[in-house]
Amino acid sequence: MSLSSYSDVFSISHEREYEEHIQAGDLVRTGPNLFPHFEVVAVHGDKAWVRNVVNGADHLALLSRCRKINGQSLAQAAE
Amino acid sequence: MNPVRAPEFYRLRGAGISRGSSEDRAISAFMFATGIENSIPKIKNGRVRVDQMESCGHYRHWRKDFDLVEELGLRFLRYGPPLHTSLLGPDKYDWEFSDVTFAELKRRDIVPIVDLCHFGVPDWIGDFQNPDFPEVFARYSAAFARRFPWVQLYTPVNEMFICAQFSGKYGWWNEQGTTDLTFVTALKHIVKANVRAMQEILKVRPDAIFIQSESSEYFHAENPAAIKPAEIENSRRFLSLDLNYGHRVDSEMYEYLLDNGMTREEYHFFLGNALHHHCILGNDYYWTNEHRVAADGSSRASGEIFGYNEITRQYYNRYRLPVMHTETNIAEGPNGDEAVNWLWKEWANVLRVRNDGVPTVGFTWYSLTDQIDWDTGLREDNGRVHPVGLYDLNREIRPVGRSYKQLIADWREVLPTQSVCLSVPIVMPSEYEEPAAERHRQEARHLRAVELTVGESG
Repeated sequence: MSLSSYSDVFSISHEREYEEHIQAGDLVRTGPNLFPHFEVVAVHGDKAWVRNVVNGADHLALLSRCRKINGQSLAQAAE
Repeated sequence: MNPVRAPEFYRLRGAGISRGSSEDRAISAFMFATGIENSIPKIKNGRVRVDQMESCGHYRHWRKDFDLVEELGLRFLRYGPPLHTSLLGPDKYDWEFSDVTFAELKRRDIVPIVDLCHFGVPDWIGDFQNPDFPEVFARYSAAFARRFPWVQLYTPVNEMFICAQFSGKYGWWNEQGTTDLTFVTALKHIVKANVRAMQEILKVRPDAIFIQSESSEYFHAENPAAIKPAEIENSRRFLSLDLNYGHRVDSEMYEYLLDNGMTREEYHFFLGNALHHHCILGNDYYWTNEHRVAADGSSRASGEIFGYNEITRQYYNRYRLPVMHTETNIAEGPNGDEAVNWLWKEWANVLRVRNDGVPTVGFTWYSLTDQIDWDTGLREDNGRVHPVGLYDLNREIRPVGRSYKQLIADWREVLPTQSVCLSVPIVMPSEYEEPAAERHRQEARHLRAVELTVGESG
């Protein structure tokens, strides 16, 4: 069982909503904003093992929420 | 829960002069707020000045920041001038930045809750061990109030307990003291400064309301041997507000204060100058506010055990003042919804407190934008972004910002008010010069004169 999120109450989606291949070693954000930054340690199925680059804490994140830093969304914004 | 829609006759402004739309009236009924983070402690033995308004970009983006406050549907903003660059010397002030920013707040009819001292003092004052600080600060507060007479809400000194603890006991900020003597010295100067500032502001603005923003804490004993040290900490946490409100401390704390430099005369200053009836008990709650205590008296963070609801009731039962949740936040993490969930939890706690009959008048997500270096309690100058804002430092809204905007829109007109008769008597900036507001101030001035005649110790 996974814990529920109250994001649905506010109609907020955290999904990336564009295609991007994420792999171990990538530096990613897990939302649309600038920080926090994570390093991808490993990828398995729909999950990514990520490490917060500031405090070293490890987490499991949904791969669909990871966005490469300097990845597609920023590149699109720069066009 | 049976939400009640505010009726038409709801008297939302003390001056009784509201003529705005139903939306305007509902906004005044409950103070949804955010704040511009403006901490200015010195660290590294006084070599480094932290200035959060600089590091978070407010000096450059202040107009944009005010746009964002309005974009969220907020009318209340915790905000203050930078003390270290505004208070240049005794009775010497530089209001240049304040003049432009406060004029803009007034033009937008945003109600500032003005925070005049946020964890630091100007270089020439030194630190909180300086006994001259209370009087210098009182004059500064009076000068501010005279220059901006339309400002009604104040937090003269922000988080007095934390300021004294981090400066005088933990050795983190300013004087970086580590003893009970330096803690008590900082505490008595800080709280006296707050009381004196309130007195001076009331001379200018007799209907001023003071919203403390004070950390609400709880200490859990790990085992029976830790009960005594935990109880001491649970008494010590009240010291700043006890002194500020003229509430008698318990006998153990009285001995502690006197053993560590407070005189009987200093203690009686606080008992004799209580202004609690002009105050709202603003309390701050973060997941770091609860602690577990070991038998040797050492403590570490426990995470959230009781939560805001239980701890606020402890503070309310002690002081019996209207309550406002004046600070909370949590960092966005790997799921992206951590802050969204925390906002929901804190709001649910506020509703619980309110539904239990505690007069609860406001809620604050702090701060508007991300902060810098709060992951180390501002002890280190690393330039690390602390992602706790409603907006990031590019002024892009975060999920929690979108959530807060929705929460405000959903709840501001349907709050489960326990009483539609009691509300904070706020005069909006745009109403300051109206005849009814002036009559309200005259009445407040008369009441203040009576209060001074009969003494403030009630």
